[in-house]
Amino acid sequence: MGLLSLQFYLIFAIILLVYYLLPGKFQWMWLFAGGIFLYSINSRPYQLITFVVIIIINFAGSMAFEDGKSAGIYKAVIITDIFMLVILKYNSSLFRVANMCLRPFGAAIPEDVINNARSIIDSICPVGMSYFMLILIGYITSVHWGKMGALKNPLKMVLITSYFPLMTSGPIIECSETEGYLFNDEKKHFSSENLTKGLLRILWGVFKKLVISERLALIVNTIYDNYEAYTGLYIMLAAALFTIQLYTDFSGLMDIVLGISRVLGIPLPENFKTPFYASTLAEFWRRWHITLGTWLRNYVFYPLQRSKMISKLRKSCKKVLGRGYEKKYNIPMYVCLFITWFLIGFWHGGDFKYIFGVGIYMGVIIILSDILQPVFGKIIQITRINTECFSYRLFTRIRTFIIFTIGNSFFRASSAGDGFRMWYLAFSRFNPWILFNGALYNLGLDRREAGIVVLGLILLFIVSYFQHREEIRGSGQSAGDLIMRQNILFRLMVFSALFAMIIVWAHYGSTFNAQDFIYGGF
Amino acid sequence: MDKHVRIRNAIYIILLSAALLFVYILANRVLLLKNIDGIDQFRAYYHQEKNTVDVLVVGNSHSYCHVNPAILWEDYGISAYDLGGGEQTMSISYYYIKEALKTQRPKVLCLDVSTVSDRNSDTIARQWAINNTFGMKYNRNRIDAIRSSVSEDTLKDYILPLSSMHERYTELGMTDFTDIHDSIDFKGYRPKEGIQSFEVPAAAMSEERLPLTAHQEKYLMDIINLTKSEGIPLYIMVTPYIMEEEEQARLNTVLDIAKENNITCTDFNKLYDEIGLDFNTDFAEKSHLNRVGSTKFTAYLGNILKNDYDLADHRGDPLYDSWNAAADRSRQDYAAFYMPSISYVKDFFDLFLNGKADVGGDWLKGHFTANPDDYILFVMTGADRSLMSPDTIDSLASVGISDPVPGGKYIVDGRGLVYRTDSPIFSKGYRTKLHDILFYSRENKEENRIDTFVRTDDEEHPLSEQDTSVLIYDKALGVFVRGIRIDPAGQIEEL
Repeated sequence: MGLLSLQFYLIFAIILLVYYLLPGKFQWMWLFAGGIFLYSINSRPYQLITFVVIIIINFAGSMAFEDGKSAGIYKAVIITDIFMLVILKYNSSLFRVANMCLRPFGAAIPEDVINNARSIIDSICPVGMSYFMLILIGYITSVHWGKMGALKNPLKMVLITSYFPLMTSGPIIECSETEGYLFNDEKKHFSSENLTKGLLRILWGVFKKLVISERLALIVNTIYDNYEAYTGLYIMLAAALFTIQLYTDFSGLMDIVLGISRVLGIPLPENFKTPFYASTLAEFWRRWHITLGTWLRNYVFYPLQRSKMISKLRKSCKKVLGRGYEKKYNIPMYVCLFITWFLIGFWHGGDFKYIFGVGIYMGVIIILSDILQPVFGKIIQITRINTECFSYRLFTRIRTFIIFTIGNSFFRASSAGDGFRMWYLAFSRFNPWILFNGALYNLGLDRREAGIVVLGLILLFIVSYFQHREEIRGSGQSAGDLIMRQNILFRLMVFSALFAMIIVWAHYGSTFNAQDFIYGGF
Repeated sequence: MDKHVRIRNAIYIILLSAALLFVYILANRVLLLKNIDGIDQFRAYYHQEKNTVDVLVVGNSHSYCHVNPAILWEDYGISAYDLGGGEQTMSISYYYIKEALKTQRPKVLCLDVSTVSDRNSDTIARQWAINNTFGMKYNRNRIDAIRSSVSEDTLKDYILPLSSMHERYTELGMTDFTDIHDSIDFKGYRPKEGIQSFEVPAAAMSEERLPLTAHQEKYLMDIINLTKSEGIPLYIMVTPYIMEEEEQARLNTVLDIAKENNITCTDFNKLYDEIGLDFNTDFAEKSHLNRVGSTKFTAYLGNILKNDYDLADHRGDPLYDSWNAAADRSRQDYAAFYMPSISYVKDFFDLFLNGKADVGGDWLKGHFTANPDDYILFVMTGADRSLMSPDTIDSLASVGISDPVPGGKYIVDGRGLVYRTDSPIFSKGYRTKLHDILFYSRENKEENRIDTFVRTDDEEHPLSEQDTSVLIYDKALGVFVRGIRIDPAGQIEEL
């Protein structure tokens, strides 16, 4: 039962109704109960047991450092957590590495043994593992660092790591920030503002997912599933559309999650901030899947930079390259970046296509752009390119989109090898005529359906435009806030139009089988 | 919080909920499948004046394909309604009756039971479940009807009608917005067109017995008990069709059960001669009579109903005006049905003018008097006057087109000639209740000629350049019932 099912919203309505009737200090308990209920009906018994075991280990650990008992226990808990995460979630790469090591000796783990083992592991791996484990590790580490006190009540710990809207798909919250909203005893009163803004956001998320993303998926699937038959521009088109599909899918999901939480009066961190307005890849990633980036920065990148290994490296660099080397080649930082990007890729599922496409590739581009920055600066200076104008900004945005899309295309490919092959095919044929002869309408969307996608994208652009404008102004307002400032008639029209487009155009019901959220399975 | 703010917020939320609800209901109405295999039958049923339906016909498609309430009305003044659904199960029939009795107290309830004949499963396919139940109001009976006839795991497909209807946005048409069936004038009749020839089925005389399923039997008994307790006479009937031996065996079992329970029943498959069915002309396909066959059958059934039940003659009662409209409509349908069979130009215009053409079978001959107000003629005379026969010229004159010139364009309606032009490029609109019709020409540069058309939002008909063309639009049905080209000999060909 996902965030798009009718059952979920019926249960949510009940949760909501009781939630606002309860006194403040019981509200979090009710959220806990509701979350556990939803989690249980979505899980098999063994998955629940694993979940409980993980919680017990971490709770016991967090209690221990509260008592002043030290780093040893913290390390033990973190290592257990990482070990569980790798075994339960990323086992496919373990098996692959094991087979790679065995191969020189002429041995291998048989395919059926791997499959059996994996199906057993899958049946005990808790739902939403990749998300709540990161939240949990972040929590334990924050407690260890003294950023926040340990939660004395284990139920509170369960709630903060598995608050139901974000359980299966993030955002990966920073417990020290969300704690205050979830657990303050002050009663959260029903507010029509929260309800309507939350509802608008949910509708917008559903629109992005079921009207835009699901339609784009038809074209993307057609080409990716038969890429040998589609070469040249087809592949480039599929890659570009997949980027938009992924954006509308994942950010739509986030809109739903944040909208639901908004209705409950609990703000959650944004995961997307108009990423396609970014002018560099590094900036793009500060606007895309933000909470994952923040988490890795806080709990991997910074600690790495402070680690003994890196300070040793820093010393050796200074010896070899001389003082001030970091202005030219900040090698220690590049090493940290590389490791962080490797982990971002790895987090997506351990397959090499993720490690390369969403990890290493992105990291290398970011490192290279840092290294080559002076060269580009020189070129701009010599050619007197005006960088303070719309056309240059547009150029950098399109450039960033293309660079991101190239790496992201591996995400959708069935393997890294296929990803490379596709790009080879993309450049092996020049077929611009497909843009003119109507061939694009044979990929799964006819003219009418394509028209709906175009309309959806225009709406998406308008919303993003206003969102970005507010970001520049620093008003802290969202596009939804802008709508809510309009007269009631306009607001009602926006709601009605959005709702009408969803109930008519969305891919739902018995004849459409909407795909799961792409980021829902991690 | 300030009291005023609270009130304002409450009003806002109420308005918002109302707006969303309005959108939802509107979408449901527009996107609902408009078909005449059950959905329209039930929707129009709710429009009937309370307690006016004296004869209610329930069952599968046979109920609305074989019984024409217009004939029962015209010949006997009986107010009848066909409330059936295609492939209807006995269980759905039961819930239909339960729902129907909320607004009507029929003097006799005719149940066509042929549904039991060829079904081994108690569930029906999705499309049929939809056709049967989506016209019903969203209430307990509707849910029970669905539940009784689809498998448990597919139930969720029917809970929100939009989830199986919303993809219809690709096929929305005029009827989705201005639905002519969604009205008190529709009485459920929907004949099958076409003709197929069959042998008289020997199986009709079979005396074999085969058991019903427990499900069928339960609901048959429920119907019997329900009508008994409501005091409504039940008339179980098997209307004519071509059945297999096995099917007849199950029907025999139903008739046995009916007799055991003192329910009147008739197997019309034993009465072919009495009805006067012609197996060469009266069947549309194996399981349905066509328009002609159903006309004969209804006339026969009407006689039985009139003699055996206490049914008042409501003709002339203003409360029953809608049956007059239904009869008019039915005549219109018959004319549209028979018009394509006219092959000579004089007959064609005669039908239009006086309704006295020799077409339409016995019932129509007695009843049909075309009302010129119902039709519009779009005429374009051929490029060469010599191509027009004297008969054509006479016929044109009879509808008011005198002294036609080559390439003249004319519009004729009940008032006579209303438009005439000789200019090659022209454009003339004609507004009817259902369509805005455009009669116009445009230059075809590639072929170096001028093309002339009659068009609506739904269709466009090119007219002949050489021969005289006539297009007949039926205002009541909202369709072009015939488009012809008259050759020099006065013979008619299709446009």
